[in-house]
Amino acid sequence: MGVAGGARSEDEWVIDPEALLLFSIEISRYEPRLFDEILDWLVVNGRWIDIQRLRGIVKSKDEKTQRLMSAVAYFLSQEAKSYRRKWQALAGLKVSDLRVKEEMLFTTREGELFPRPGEISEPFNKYGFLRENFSLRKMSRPVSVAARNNMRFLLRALFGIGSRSECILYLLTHEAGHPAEVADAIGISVRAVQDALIELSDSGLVMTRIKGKRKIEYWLSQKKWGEFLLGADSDEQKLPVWLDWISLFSALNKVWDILNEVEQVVSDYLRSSKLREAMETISLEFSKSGLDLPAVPGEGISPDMYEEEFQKFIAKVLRIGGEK
Amino acid sequence: MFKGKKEIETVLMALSEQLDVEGTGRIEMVVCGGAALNVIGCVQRTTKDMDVVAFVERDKNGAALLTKVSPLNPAIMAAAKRVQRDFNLPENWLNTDHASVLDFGLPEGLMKRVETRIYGRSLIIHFLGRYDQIHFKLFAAVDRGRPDVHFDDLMSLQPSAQELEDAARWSMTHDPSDPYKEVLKEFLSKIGYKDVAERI
Repeated sequence: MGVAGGARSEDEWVIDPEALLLFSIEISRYEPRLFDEILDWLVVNGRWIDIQRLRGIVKSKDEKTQRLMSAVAYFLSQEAKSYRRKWQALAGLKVSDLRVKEEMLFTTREGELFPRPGEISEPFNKYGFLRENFSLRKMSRPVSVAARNNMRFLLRALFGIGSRSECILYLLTHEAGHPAEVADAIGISVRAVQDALIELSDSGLVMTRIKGKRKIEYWLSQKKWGEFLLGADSDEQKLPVWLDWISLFSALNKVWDILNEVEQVVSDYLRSSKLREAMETISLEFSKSGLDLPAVPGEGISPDMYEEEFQKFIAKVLRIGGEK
Repeated sequence: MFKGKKEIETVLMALSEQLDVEGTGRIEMVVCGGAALNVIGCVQRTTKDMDVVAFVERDKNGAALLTKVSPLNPAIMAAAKRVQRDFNLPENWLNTDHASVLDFGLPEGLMKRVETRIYGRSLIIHFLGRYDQIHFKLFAAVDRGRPDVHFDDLMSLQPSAQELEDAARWSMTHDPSDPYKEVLKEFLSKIGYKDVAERI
């Protein structure tokens, strides 16, 4: 993607930068260097971020996450001067007020707070987060649109940021879709998706067909589009695979939260009960993501075995992510 | 389904922890039926539920006052629901189906005969003693009119003639009808207590 550091690009899943950004800034509160590399990447590549879509996803998150995203946007509005207005819009989403208690931005992996810094970063402090003043390394590179899993960036370069790119990506990775299901998957309003699909179909390169009672679904020739987007040898270069990263990251966030919560619980039984309760929502989100999931530990598992089965399930899910 | 005393007590300990989470404070219940028989050691058999006869409230001097709480209050329901999910129990595993018995009165001195167990910080269970179980089981067995689990339990309790007579007289306060008395007499005669049948 252009972040400084080692990476592999053979993943077949198409990256969702908005969902990834939101997940990453939360998780990297445990890893300050990664947090700063994300900011560094955003200064260089932030122009490809769909602010409207990001705002839509952020709004479903809790107050602290909204504030953190706004802090990052505010910082970027100052650092990435060419895109100041773009980030300013998001910076205003959630500011800190007197009721918000200041907190350290970073904690160690063991959950201990970083010491209060001498020189406080003003942009983050404005949003209730304390961190030291810092400078970016400026090591990030422009995102490589040629990589298969960066298809979203390629489409945004071609069609512009917004519903058209997202709709094409959905149709490239699905047999077909009607506006409501496309909207649900890409996180944009049904109206915007419907308008985009109608206009795209005027090109003749996105087609419509009737499915069931008066339901119009849209589709495109994945072969022709694949040849166009990936080059003549596209037979060997398969189209990327769709994954609902919003649901996947949401599930992973919930796993993180519940593991933090049960760490404080002394009773073995209550720990297993809380994990089982969390699994009800986590498994729904995982299944919505499109991952080929292992069997969810269910009602047949006794409380004394549940914690172990929960861990095995999460390990298997993470392994699926690593193997593909 | 509880396989025996150990499972019942594990579940009750779990219920106590969930009541703790709900912040109910200490709950005291009087429990009858198969679960109680298992815990006090009168029988060893599987049972599917736990029958709550009454809840115990305490006055300022600590004296017990039995109250009917049917249905269960929402906090207890929520705690029981989580235990049900965690242990894969039937939906109605903790029920007050027998709470109506309180309307016509419990056997005299019942609370002096209960076996009390404390589970964690939030749950005290008073399991009905053998003498009172004979009362409940006789009433249930006669009511069913055919050999079933209540009949088996009653026989396992090996009641004396006097205990059966006390139980029979108590059951007639709950159903004072002549047809019931007839069925009761017939039942007692059938199980070998013709003398008791003649005395009531």
